[in-house]
Amino acid sequence: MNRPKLILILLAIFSSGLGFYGVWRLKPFTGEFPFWVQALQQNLSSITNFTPRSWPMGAPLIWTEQWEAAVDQLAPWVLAYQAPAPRHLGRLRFYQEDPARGEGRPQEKKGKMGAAYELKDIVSFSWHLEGTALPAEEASAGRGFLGAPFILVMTIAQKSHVPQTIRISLPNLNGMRDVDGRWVGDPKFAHLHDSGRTGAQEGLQTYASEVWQALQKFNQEQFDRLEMVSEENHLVLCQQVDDQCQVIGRSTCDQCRYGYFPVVGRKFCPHTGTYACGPNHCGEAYWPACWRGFVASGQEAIDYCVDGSLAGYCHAGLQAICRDGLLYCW
Amino acid sequence: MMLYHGRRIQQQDAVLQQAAELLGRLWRGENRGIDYQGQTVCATTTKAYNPDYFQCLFSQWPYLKVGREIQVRVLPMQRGPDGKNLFYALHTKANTAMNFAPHYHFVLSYGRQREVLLEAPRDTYLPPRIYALGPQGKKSDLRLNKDWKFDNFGLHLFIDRRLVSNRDIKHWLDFSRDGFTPEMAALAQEFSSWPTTPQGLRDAWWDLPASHLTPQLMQAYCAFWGGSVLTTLWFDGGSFHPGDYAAPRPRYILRKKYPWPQEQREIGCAQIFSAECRGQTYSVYHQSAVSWIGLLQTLGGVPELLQAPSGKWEVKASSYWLSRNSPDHALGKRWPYEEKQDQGVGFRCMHYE
Repeated sequence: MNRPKLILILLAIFSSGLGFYGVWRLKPFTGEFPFWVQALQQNLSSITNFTPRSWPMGAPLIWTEQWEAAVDQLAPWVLAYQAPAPRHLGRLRFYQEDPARGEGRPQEKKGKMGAAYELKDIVSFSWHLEGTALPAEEASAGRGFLGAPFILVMTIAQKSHVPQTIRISLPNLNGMRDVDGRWVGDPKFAHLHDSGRTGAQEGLQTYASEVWQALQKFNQEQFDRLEMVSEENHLVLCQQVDDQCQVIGRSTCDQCRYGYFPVVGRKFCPHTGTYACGPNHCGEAYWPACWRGFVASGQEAIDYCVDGSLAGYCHAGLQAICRDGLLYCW
Repeated sequence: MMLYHGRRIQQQDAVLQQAAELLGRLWRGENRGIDYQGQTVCATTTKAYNPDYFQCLFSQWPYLKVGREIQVRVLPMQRGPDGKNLFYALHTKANTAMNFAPHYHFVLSYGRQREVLLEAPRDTYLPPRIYALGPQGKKSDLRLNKDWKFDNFGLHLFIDRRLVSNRDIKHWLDFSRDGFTPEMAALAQEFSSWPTTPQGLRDAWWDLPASHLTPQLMQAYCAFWGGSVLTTLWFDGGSFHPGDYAAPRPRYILRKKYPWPQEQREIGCAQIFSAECRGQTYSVYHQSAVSWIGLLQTLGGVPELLQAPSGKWEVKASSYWLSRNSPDHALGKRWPYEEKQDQGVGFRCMHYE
């Protein structure tokens, strides 16, 4: 074989992407995936409202609505996720809610809710929001710049396919809110930046590099300096909300040595709340009441922090008492 | 040159993707067709989800073969308690700033590229709904609204899918630098006396539920991971099938006896690991009585300890001490916990994010 022919053959092999590595066991993408991404990009690029509906995890075998996005008052687009379970792979569905019916249901037939874009055989899925939504105190000090575009980042792995990361820019989404003349970060976006979770079955998952970097944050020295630990008669609150469900100051709950747990306050806040550092001794004497919930207790209240409130419960022999806007057990 | 460099990165990425898939299969115990050294030396019955097995394998030869020739390197991550290099990193709330802590991760390296693989979260999310405590009772009770209801709207609650294993406790003790309490020291002593194979591997005991801890030690373990021992409220929420998933605020909270949505033709060991099943392989991974959100062994298996709203500890009645036909194989049925009881009790953790 002469040299030019050999070079041509080698070039052909390299440019075909096969290389010398044998079988491509993981395919880059399948036919439906680019169309699914295209549908998302087309329908999300002009949205002005974005509301997270569920913690980005999903539950196996049931549909959980992850977020809804809308252009002004038009019918919102919803992404629903059915996490994988043993012997079942997950699914993703992107659809527009039917305003005539008031609510879209992903498990119903396509005809009833108009166009729905579905992706099957999902092994793992995660999403988060990138952007420079400023924490409250930086915004009020006038530093930095406001309104930098959010980017919706989704990482999807289908069976036998290479995991794909999609980035959709949301230039019309405003992450700041004007509260009494101060620009503050919208709290509904507060927890959406470091979501590394995927609703996958047991196994090993490849993770995005920003998650990997976040994992590297701590070393033993830093941990040994973590003093945020609650004790009897000394509760450490790592996140507090006011009566408008705005986080006061900055949340430091990731600095809690033993995790954190919710504390019942005055108001029901659907996206956030007051949290205390662990260890969790809720229900015991001089500790906060354990969470029972604002809805199920059946009492509609302007203020849930009252003595005897049903929004929390205490261990036998103790009563729920309101102190400093939080429910304790006495 | 630029084109070649870009293509090279792409090819390295592709190799790493394949290596990641192989490592994932090995992790799940599916090792057919995977070529690696050390498999006979590291013989063990518990290959799946076992970082000690990986440690043995990669201590022999820290590479994974992709295709015929390519060796992808598995990087050493941290020093173990005996000073040797570990091929996995154990994450704890202690060394992870994130809201959740996957327990183990591995790093593969090929050329200049690296791939990080984390153990998939071992917990599952409880969707926001209204729930009710305990068995359903009479239909008239439902209509009279006698249920003790609770909800998790506004919360993000996660429950461990499986019970805590002996291996989990061992690693907690090995890597716990909080300082041992006398109880923890006694437990560590007990664990160290368990017989080992020449390579330092353990046998199936390590995958059994840790069933001889006191409630205080259980809470200490769960707190280390940022949570607490599961309460009866959220156990019931995660195990009773909710019926209509799409209605999170139903008027009546239906609570059927079994976690599965439809009647089963027969109830065997795959449904409830009862006394008749005790000759079979059992571990924390045994997929029986899986609930609607993926909790394993909500019935059968080792008795499980839960904390009731009264603050008292209760034990799930259904276990492998009862025959298949026992009426106590029913969700929501619990007995008071007695500290000196002979039968060990297992546990699992829950946490908030």
